[in-house]
Amino acid sequence: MEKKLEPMLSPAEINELSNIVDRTAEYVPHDYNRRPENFEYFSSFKASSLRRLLLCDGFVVFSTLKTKIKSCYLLLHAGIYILSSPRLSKDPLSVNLAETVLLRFVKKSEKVFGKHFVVYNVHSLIHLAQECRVHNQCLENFSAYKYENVMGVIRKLLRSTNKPIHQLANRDKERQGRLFIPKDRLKQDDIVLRDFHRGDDEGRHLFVY
Amino acid sequence: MTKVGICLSIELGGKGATTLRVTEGDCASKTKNDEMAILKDVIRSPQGHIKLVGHKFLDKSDFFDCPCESSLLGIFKVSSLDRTRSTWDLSDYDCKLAILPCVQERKSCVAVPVLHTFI
Repeated sequence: MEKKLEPMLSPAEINELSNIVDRTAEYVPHDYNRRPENFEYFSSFKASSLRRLLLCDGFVVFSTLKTKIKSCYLLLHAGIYILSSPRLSKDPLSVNLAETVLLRFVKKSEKVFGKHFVVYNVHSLIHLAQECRVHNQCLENFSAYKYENVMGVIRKLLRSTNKPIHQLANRDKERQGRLFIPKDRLKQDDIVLRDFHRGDDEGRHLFVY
Repeated sequence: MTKVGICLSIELGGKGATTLRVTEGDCASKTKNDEMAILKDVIRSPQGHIKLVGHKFLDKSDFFDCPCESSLLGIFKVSSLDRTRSTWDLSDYDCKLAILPCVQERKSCVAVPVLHTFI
């Protein structure tokens, strides 16, 4: 029979995390697709929520946790942040640092969370730095994020489970290579000003130089 | 020159596309001189140059030291918002920041560069 795992955090600690999320949610930029959610709904968190926690607001949310869990988070955060940054991922010294830090994370997480935690996905973190060196790019530029964004579109286009690639190729041909219509994005150097001051509030924004 | 603020949000296209607004969450940005500031208004000079107006943070320090100094990652603990307003050219804008309040210290915030907004 499978051994039942002890939860790492008590309900009170999870509640504390949720309180911090509620307090800091409004300060998280809208560039991240999903807004911070209460840890009550953790089981329904999407990958983009977890990614935001890892790269943006995690160290504020997890700042009240036990030192060993917090230091594990910081190791993972520092490693992935370097490899995801378009600038740091091109600096060989930073990539070396990321590699060391991720290796330390994998070793430490085994001690903190137990052997069952170090599955294949966790092991593959060790090789991410080498991938960044090979491609000389940050993780975003050679990951499957773009594919994952159109998973819903692909699923709707498939009519049965038989020969999915053939079906997709046929739909692609029917639609002249436009399986989905991408959002209108602004081009380089395009600047759009919005929320213009109305006559009555101009006085409050008067500056003299 | 005398100038009136024209709007409260600005959308930038191309590489590092994002929107800066005066509302919480979308108001912080970093300049190329590594100064961190909060946007309060957008103005346009008579020559048509767009300038950003806001308050800069006067103090910044490392937020964590282990596993590496957070300044290496561009992450800082910031405090003491300058009371006087500063202006900087849009060409000096470097990236957008997430400014999150510190849980332990009330008067400090953590400034984290939003990775995909680097120009």
